[in-house]
Amino acid sequence: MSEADTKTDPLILTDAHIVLRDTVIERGWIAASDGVIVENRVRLFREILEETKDAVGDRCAVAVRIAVDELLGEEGITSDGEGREIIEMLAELPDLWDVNISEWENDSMTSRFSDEGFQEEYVSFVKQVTTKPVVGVGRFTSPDAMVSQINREVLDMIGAARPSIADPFLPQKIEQGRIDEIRECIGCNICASGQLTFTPMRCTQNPSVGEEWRRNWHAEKIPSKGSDDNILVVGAGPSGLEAARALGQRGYPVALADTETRTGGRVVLESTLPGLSAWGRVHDWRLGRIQQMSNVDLFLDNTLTAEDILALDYDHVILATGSHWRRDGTGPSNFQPIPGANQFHVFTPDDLFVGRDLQGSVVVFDDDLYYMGGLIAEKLKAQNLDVTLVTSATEVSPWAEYTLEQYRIQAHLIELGVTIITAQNLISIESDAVTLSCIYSESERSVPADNVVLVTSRHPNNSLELQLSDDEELLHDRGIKSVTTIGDCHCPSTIANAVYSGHRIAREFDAAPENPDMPFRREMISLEAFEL
Amino acid sequence: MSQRDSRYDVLFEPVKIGPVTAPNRFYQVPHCTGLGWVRPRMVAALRGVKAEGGWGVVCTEYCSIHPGSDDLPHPYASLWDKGDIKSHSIMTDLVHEHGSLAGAELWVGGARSPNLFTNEVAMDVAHMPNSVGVPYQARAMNKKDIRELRRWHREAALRAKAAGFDVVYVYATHHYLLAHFLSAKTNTRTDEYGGSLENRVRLVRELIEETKDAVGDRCAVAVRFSADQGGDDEDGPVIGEHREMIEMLAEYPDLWDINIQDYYREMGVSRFIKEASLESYMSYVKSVTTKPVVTVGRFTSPDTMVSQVNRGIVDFIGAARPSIADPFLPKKIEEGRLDEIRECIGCNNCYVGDSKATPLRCTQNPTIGEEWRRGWHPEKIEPKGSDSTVLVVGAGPAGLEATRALGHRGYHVLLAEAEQELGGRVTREARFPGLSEWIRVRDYRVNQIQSMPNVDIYLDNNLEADDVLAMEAEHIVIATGARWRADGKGREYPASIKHFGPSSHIFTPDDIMAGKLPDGPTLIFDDDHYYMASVIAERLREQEIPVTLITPEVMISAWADNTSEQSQIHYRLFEVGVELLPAHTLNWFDGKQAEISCVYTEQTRLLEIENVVTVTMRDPNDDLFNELEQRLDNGADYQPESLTRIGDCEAPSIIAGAVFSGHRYARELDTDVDPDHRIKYDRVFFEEE
Repeated sequence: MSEADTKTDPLILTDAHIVLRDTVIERGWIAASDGVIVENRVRLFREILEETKDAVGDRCAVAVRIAVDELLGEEGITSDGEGREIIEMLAELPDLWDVNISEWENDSMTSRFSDEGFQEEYVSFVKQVTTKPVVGVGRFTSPDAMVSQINREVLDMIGAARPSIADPFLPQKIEQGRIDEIRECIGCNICASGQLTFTPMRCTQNPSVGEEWRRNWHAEKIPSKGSDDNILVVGAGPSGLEAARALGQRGYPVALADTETRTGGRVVLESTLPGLSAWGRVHDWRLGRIQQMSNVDLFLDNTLTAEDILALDYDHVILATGSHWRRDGTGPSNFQPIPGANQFHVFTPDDLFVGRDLQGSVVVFDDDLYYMGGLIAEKLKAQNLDVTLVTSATEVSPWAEYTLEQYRIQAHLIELGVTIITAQNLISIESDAVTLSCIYSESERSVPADNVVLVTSRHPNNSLELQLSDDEELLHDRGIKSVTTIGDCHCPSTIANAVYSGHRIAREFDAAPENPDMPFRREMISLEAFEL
Repeated sequence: MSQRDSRYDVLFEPVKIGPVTAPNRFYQVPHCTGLGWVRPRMVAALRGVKAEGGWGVVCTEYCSIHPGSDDLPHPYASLWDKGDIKSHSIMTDLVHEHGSLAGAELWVGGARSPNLFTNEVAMDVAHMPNSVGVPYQARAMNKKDIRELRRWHREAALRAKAAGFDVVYVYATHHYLLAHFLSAKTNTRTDEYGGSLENRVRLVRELIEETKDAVGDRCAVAVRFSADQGGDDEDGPVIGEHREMIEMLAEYPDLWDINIQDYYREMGVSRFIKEASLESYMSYVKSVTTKPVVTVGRFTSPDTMVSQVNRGIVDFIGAARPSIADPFLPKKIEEGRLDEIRECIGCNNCYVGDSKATPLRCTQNPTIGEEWRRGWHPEKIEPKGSDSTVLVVGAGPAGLEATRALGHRGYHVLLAEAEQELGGRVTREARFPGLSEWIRVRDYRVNQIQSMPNVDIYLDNNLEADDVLAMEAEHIVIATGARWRADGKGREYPASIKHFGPSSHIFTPDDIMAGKLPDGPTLIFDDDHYYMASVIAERLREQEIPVTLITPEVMISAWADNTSEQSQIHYRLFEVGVELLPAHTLNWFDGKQAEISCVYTEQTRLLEIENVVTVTMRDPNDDLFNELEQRLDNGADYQPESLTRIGDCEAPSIIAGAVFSGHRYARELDTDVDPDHRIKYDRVFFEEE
């Protein structure tokens, strides 16, 4: 038996989400004769716990994962009611208590709707009623918050899912006093969307997650440079920053230029939207790393033309100039421009980011279907405007279902007083109104609007690409070996994909995959045992 | 064996497709299975059984040519590398074993495939948003990208050939990448691939030529193409420039696989779309090409098929769903066994597999997808394992299927039904507007059972526990179905609705099916989310009863999105004048008013209504089962070898679930099935290439 085999690992019984809770413990689903008494409803749970200890307890610790509150008030389990009663009843039975709140959208709230340590008020009682170690979560990324949880005897162990995805080396960095190197989770829940769409997980902060085996990417290590070439990165948004950071880590001389007087691109702009301040960490961490690197130079307030780039002395040019929201309203519902979109009272999110002030009523048309439409409506509502959010989907921000926040977004907007119109396409814009068409019946209606904001789709800022990629001979003459686009400039997408794109180009610089058509390993079904 | 009518002979003529020849005119067009590259052995065995059943051509599902086209979670096939070639060879070997041709539908997703698995950036004809709601856009292809795409396609065609395929597709429809190049709406390019018709068709033409060049010596090259431009006007379908496109490319491919722009018609459910619904769109195609033409139309009637061929509409009878419901449909026609055909009911539960990324199921054919992992064959079944008699109580879909399959195995079966007619819920539900084809679930089974001398049917026979035991059957199967709850209990209300009455003003789907309809303004509370609430609404509107339908879901009949009919249901209800209030739940009802509230804000409103129909959840009719179990536990004189409940009586589900349950019971009786390991599982490996 190897050493690993004799190690004692915890075995976890899950009750947290829906496994036992819905069917056994929760009151509603049990006929009165089966036991309204908590003790009876806990019976199966207790039996499985005891039998698991009996089966493997000699070598394995038996942990229990349980939600102590469902945030349903009287209708559900509460931390001052049955949640507490259940833990008191079974207090010393397991070897460890892993406690949280349910359902998943409560347990894993995004940073838009919760702060670090948000579960404390529900789980803090647990340590008072058991002598067994207690673990809980709360999107902990601050070592001070962690220490405080332990010192105040809220938890014995710092539980984490999302922070451990954003930075698998978080514990080691704290241990070694490298606090400023921690890549903090931004609480965007892109990771959860993997589970919910049955595809491998991604992370906005950590592009290497899920790629450890199939692309051999390590969260902290990256091979040294493969040549002495120098690189110009144009644009310091999420993809440009990540490319510069990772190329810098590999030892390449890198120049990072941006038109603005600051770095961060879209992620800094978007982090000013209501609830998104934690998204600024995408920028902060990368800028912090780059500032430690003597081989990366930052040139701000520096608008480069194609001529400038050709005149500069760089071997490689990476264009990361981002994208802009389309002004013509084209998007999933409208392949052709929306008639009337070219009027003065029609705006895009980009106009609002640069401080454009609107007066009167606003219709926000969301055909993008993730967070932006809802946030623009929220931002305008905060300015006391009369806001109507029109969406082509049957619910507000439908893709946010996959980040576990759709319900909260829609409820929040209704609460703020935003008028919501779903399942309608916007088909034309008049001087003081918009015309909507029902996605089912195509019946039309008019809604008054002094202003219209179109949140439909984006177009790459690709003029440099078009000018530079055109003439390979010229590039060759000027000594430029490659011009590549990354991030939104290559193809508008999520911030996570922009970071991924920047990371990938840095990884693959002078180290292209052996077979570019099959750039990763794939787990396949074994055909060995095939029989019919 | 009965003799085939000579008028069907035409269906069994061999047809040449370029360098290969199909043994007959039955063509299983490419169709998804929820299996794909993720479950290669399940899909290979499924396709093999189709060939065995007489389909002259058997195709894959959409088959990705490169990691740049990845549609997970939807399980597509792939031809990316040597591992894929190996997986597909299993299928092509099985298809060839029965003398049929194997076809591979090479596919590039474009803006429809977000590449959530491979993390590659999707490409399309222009910069555009992902068309299935993922917040990643596709980028515009430049010239180099187009050259790369052509290389990918060529190399995938060579891999298809290496895997043993006989037909290789250029897939230019269904709103994927090549369709976006064709369409003037989406193709906004200004280079030689955009603008004029000739330019927009260029890439498709190049791919046909290059595929022929690469594999045309041994493989036929098929093109899947839409006959129309999309939409309908007063004169019917708008063919538009698609006729010109087909004329331009007429003789380039070896076969035209024709469909239409409107996917909801092409694979519409029987509730809205009937057999041969594509004809008016595509009947011109044969007049503009000499190459063989195939199309679909949920063909299950041999007479319709013959008519399609004889009138020169098609050369091949294309099918996806009918070949799932009955993989042996061609063989049965060939052998003159027409009454043995298990006709597709057009419920689209097969499509749910692709929607939900799970193996497909079929209401009519419970063996689909189970060919490899359970060793089930749609036509063959082990002979009985004992001389036992089996009593089946209840002749709904589960009881009928258990009886049929047990009868097929040779068991002596007693089938008792309380009602005067067979079929249970499927007989009742088939009377709803649009659902008449669902009766095929009953008819096929009853027809089979009636020819079995070892099955005795007792109608109008409401058995009690004493009666059951007195029959002294060795095995007792209870298939007594389920009933809808009247108290609102369901997903929204784990207990029940508190202030809910009077009971004379509350109706359930069972009441409606029994002909007991409400009088006056009626609220339907749909917490079930599939078809039931919507067909009740239609039924009540036929009687001109004012109807308001509320559901806590954000869509009407939300689950029907998985069967591709949600938008049609919504539109139908709008058309017949039902007031629709999604995202609302019911708080209370007093016979005159109901209070409803928004699921997001709990904002309430009062509705003046007199009746409520609750469509929330069902309870098993398991009194008889429970009584018998208790008697046996208490040492009743007669102790059978087994007592089992199946179908809705075990756990209310869809009709496909009931049929599966009945079939599984019959398969497993007197066999050695390990209840903890009923199915064979795939094992993942990685092979260094």
